[in-house]
Amino acid sequence: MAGDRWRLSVAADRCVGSGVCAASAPHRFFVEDGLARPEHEVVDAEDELIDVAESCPMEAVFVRVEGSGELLTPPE
Amino acid sequence: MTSPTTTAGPDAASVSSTLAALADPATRPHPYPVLSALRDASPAFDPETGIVVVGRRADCEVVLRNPTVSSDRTGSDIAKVPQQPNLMNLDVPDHTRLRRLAGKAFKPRIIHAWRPRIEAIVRELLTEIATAGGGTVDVVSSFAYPLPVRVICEMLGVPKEDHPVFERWATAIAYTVDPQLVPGRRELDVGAEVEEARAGFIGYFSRLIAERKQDPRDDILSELIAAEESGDQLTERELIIMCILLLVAGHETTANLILNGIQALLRHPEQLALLRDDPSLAEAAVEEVLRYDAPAQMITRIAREPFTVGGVEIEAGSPILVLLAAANRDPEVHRDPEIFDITREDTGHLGFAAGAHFCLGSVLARLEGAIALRAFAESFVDPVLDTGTLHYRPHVAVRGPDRMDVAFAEIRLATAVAGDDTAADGTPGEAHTHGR
Repeated sequence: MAGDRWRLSVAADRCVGSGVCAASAPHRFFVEDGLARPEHEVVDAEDELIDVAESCPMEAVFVRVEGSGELLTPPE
Repeated sequence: MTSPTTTAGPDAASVSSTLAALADPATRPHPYPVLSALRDASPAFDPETGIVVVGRRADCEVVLRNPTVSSDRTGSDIAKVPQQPNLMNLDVPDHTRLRRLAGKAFKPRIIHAWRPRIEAIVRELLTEIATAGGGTVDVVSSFAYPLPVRVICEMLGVPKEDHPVFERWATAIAYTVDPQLVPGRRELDVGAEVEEARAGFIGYFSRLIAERKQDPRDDILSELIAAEESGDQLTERELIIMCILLLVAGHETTANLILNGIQALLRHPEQLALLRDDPSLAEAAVEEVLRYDAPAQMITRIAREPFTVGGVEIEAGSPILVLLAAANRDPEVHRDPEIFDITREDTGHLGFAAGAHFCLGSVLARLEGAIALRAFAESFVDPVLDTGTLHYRPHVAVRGPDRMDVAFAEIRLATAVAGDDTAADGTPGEAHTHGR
C-alpha cells in the first residue's frame, strides 16, 4: 500500500455535519455550512484515514484507491 | 479565562449563584430559566470553580468542534467522580481507534435492519400495559426503559433477564457525566455508588466475556472479543469499559429521549394530535424533542491550548461547561425557541453534541425514539399526564423523569405498530386490547 494515493470524498446525502471526521483529522477534513468535506481530495495513503472514515456515524466518508477506484471503505 | 472583553460581562457572583441553582435538585423540573440566564451571560467565568460556561449555539459548536479541546478530564475538579478511560473521555488517537471498533454495529444500514424487532418489542410492551389493566401506567418502568434496555441487550448479547442486576449500577454510572458545579458540595454520596457500580459491572462483564469466548454468537460482544483476540486493537480492560459504556449509554439516554418526548406531547395536546393524525411526523417529533428537551443537557471539556470563543480568551487548562440544552433554545438560531413545535422549519440541535464525540448511537436513538413516540401517539387513547406523581431523576447532565404516570382510556394496538399479526415470540397478536 506504500506509495498509494487515495481519493477522499464525503457523500452529501449521508453527511449530517457531526464533525467526527474534522475533529479526528483536522488536517484532512473540515465542516462548512453543515457538511464535511476533504481538505484535499487525493492524498497519500495512510491507515489512520480508514479509522477516521470508519468513525463516521453515517458512513458518509468514502476512501478509494486513486486510479483503480477500488473502494476501501465504507463496506457496500 | 482572562477578564471578559465583552462590555456586557456578567458579574462573577451571579455566575456562581446561577451554577449553584442549576445544580440544585429543586431546579430539576424547570431548568430552562436557569439555562437561559447562563446562556445570556455566556461566555462567562465562574471564579468559584474556574469553569468557563458556554451556552450560545455558535460558541458551543466552536468548543465541541475544536480538536485542541480535550475530553480527558483526568485530574480536573469538573467531574463529580473520577473518570475511567472510555470513549467519552479519550482523545485522538485512542478515541478514533475505539470509536471505529464500537461504531461498526451502529451504522445506519445495520441499525435500520433492527426496525421490525424494535417494533415487535414496542408491541409486546404495549400489550403488557393493556393486559395489566388499571387505566394508569408509569411509562418510565413499563415503556420507556424496557424498550431501549431490551434492544441494547439483544444487540450487545447481554441477557435481558439480568436487567434487575445492573439497573441500579446503570443509574449510578450515569453520574459519571455529571459536572461538579459547586465546589465541595455533595448532595449525594455518588462516589461510593459509582465505585460499587463499576466493580459490579466489571465482575459481570468479565464473567459474560469468559462465557462468550467459549461460545461466540452473532452479537456485538462477540465481535469486540474477536477484535480483542486479534491483537493490538483492543485490550481486555478497554473491552470491559466499552461494554459498560454501550450498555449504559444505550438505554439511559434513549429512555429519557422517549420520556421527554411523551411528556412534551402530553403537555402540548395539539402537537400530539398532529403526530396521531400524521405518523410520518415521528422523525420530526424526535428532532424537536432533541432540541426542546434533550436528554443530554450538558457536557464538559478541558482547553489544552488557549483559544477564543465568543470574543473571550480561554486559557490552557480551563475546564469548560458546554450547555447543550441552552444552545438548543438559542434565540439567535430558533424562532420562538421556547415553543415545542414538531413542524418547525428551523430544525437542528446539539442533542447529540458535535465534533469527535458526536453520539455514537444517534441512528439507533433516532429510530427507537421515532418508533416509540409514534406508537405512543397511536396507541394511548385519551392519555393524561399525572403531574402529581411526576418526579425527576437527580442527575444534572442526563435529564428525564424517574416516574411519570399516564392515565389512559384504552390501549389500541394499531396495525402500523404491529407490522404483522404475529408478535416476536410467535403468539398471535390482538388487534385491539382494552385497558380496562
